[in-house]
Amino acid sequence: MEDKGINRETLVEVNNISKKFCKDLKTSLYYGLLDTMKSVVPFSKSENNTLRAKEFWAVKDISFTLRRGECIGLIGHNGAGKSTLLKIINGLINPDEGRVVLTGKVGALIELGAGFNPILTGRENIYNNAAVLGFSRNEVDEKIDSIIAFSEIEDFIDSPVQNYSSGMKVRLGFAVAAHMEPDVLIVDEVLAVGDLGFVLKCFQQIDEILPNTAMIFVSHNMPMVSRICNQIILMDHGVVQYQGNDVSKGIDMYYSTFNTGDKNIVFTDDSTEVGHVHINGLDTEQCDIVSVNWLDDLHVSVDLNFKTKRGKLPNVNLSIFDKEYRGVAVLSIDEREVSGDIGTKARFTFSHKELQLSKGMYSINLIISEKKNTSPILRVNDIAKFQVSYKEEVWPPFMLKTNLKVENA
Amino acid sequence: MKETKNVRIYTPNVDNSIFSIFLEGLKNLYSSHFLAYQIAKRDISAQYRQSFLGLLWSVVLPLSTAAVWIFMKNSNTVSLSDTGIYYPVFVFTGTMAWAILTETIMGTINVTQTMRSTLSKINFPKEALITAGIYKTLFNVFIKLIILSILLFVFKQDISWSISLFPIALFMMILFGTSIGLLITPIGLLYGDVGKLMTPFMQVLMYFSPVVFVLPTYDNAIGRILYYNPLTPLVNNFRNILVGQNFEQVSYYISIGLGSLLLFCIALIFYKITIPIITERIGG
Repeated sequence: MEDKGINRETLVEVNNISKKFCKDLKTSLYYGLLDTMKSVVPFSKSENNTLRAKEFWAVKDISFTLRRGECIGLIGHNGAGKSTLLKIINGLINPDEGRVVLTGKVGALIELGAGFNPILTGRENIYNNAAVLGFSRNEVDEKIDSIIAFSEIEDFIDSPVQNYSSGMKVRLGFAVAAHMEPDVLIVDEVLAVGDLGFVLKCFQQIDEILPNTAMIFVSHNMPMVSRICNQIILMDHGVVQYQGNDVSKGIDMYYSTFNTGDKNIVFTDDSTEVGHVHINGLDTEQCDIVSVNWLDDLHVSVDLNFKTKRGKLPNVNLSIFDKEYRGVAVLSIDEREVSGDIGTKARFTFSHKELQLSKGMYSINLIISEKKNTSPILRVNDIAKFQVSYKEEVWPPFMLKTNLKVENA
Repeated sequence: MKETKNVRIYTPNVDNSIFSIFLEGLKNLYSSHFLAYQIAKRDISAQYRQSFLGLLWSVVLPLSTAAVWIFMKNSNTVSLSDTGIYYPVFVFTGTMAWAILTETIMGTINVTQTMRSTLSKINFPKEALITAGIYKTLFNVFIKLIILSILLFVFKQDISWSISLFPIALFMMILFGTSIGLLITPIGLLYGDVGKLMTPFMQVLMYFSPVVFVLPTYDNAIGRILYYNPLTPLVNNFRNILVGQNFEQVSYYISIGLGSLLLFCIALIFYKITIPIITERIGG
C-alpha cells in the first residue's frame, strides 16, 4: 500500500500479547470466579504467566505496530488464535501478558447486525445496531438515508427483520457498519455472505476507508489478503509462524501447512488404483515438491493398477488446481492419437510444452471414466503437487508468454 | 464522530486507580444514554408488538397477587391486622414496590443476556446495560401508575402533597435494587444458578417485608429482623408517599438511601473490573 500522503501516525501498538484459555467449561467458570475475586482485592497482582491445570496459551507473545493507511493480515487455521487476538485488541478481554495501545476511534466489523431484534423493522434495527456501534442519535438521523440506500433494501426497510433473508440482514448490518468513520478498523471474516454484487461493494467500501485507517484483517480469502495487506502474521496454535512485510511468503507458508501429501479419493468403483505419479521424471512420493520453471515442459506420468485385465483404454483426465483449489487448467489430449489395449498395469504420460502457469503451487486432480464425462471409475484429488518457479510473482494463474511490438503510428 | 483523540490501553492488571475506574463508569453511564435508550425501546417494543394484551401484561402480576390476597382476607383464610388504608390499594402499591425491586435486581443480568452474543464481539459501553434495565423498569412503573390512579380514584383514597415526593421514593427503590443487582451480575452471568435462586429467594423475602400485609410488631428477635429489614422502610415509605400517609423509620430510611448510593459506587467499580473476565468466559 503506497503512502497516501496522510499523516501516518502509529495507531495500533501490540506488545508481547499473551492469553491463556481453559479447555474445560466448569474449570473455566471456577477460574473466572477466582479471577473476579482477585481482581477486586487491591494489591493482589495475580500470577498471570503460569498455566493452571487444564489451561493452554491461546495467544502467545504477539507484537506488531500499525500506522494509519496500513493493513495487517492475520491468517492461520481455524483455532489458531486469530479471533482471540482480535478480542484482546478490541478490548473485550484483557491480555494475561503484554500491552495494547490504540489511538483514536475503534470500529469492528466482527458481527454484522449486532443488537438486531427480529420482530422490529429494518429501520428500527438500524438505530439499534448503530447505537451498539457507538453512533450518536444525531449521527444516525443524519446518515439513515444513506445507510438505507447503501443496503439497497428500500422496499423492505419497514418490514420486520425476521422476514429478511440472511443476505439481506448482512446487507443491512454492513450498511450501518460502513458508515462508521474509524481510525482503527478490525475486520473478521464477515464479508463472505451476501451475493457477489454486495461483496464487491463491501470491498470497494473497505478500499475507500483503508487510506484513513489502520486495519487489522482476519480472513481465509488469500487473494483478498494479498490485495489489501502490507504486513502479515501467520498464526498456529497461538504462536507466530511467520511475521513480516512479505505477504506472499506468509500466504505460501499458510498454504504449505495444508500440503499433507495425501491423495484424496472422492469416488471409486474399486476396480482401479493409482500407483506412483512422476512429474518430469521425479517420483512425487519420494521428493518434497517438484519444481518446474516457467516455460519448461511438464510431463506427468500416472501409474494405474487394474484389478482385472483392462483391455479397452479408459478415459483419463488430469486437471490442475491452484492453492485455493480453484481449477485453472485441464490437460487436453487428442483422443484419436491414443489407442491400444492395456493389461493390469499401465502408465499414462501427459506432456505439455512450455508451461505458462504463473509462479505458485499447483495440485493435480485425476478423473478416470469409461467414456468422456460418463460412467466414472475413479476420481482422486491431489494425486500430486508441483511448484512453478519464476522470479516474478503475479496473481493471475497464467503468465502467457507475449511479444510486444511498438511502432510509430 | 469527530472528537479528540482518545487513547485506549489494555494490560493484564488493572493499572488505573479505583477512583478513575469509577469516574469512567459514571462518564460512560452518561455518554451511553442513547444506546441504553435504544436497547430498552427495542426490548419493550418487541415484547408488546408480539402480544395481544400488550401493555396490560405489566399489571397482570400485581393485580393477580392483589386479587389472591384480597380473596384470602375477605374469606378469612388469613387474618391480617388493619392496614389503615383500603386493602386493595395496600396490596397493589406493595406489589408495585416489590416488582420494581425484583426488576431492578435482575435488570442488568436480563439485559446483558439479550446482548450476550454481542458482548464478546463488539466493544460497547457495558454501563448502557445498567441504564437500559432501569429504563425498562421506569416504563413498567409508568403503566402501573396509571392503573394505580384508577384504583385510588375508585376507592376515593385521599392523596396529599406527599405524592410529589414519589420520584424520591422511586429513586431510592431503583438505586437499592440496581446496586444489589449490579453486585450479583458478574457472578450471575457466570453461573446460571444465581438467576434461578433469585426467584424463590425473592418470594420468601416478600413475606418478610410489608408487601401484602402490615408487619406484625413482635418484641422479639423475629420482630427486630422484620423491623430492621432494609426493605421494610423502602416498601412502607414508597406506599405511604403514594397514599398520603406519614413517613416511617425516617432516619433509617435516609441511611439506607445513603448506603445504597455507596453500594452503587462499589458495585459499579466491581462490574467494570470484572466484565472482561466474564466476557472471556461467556463469549459466543
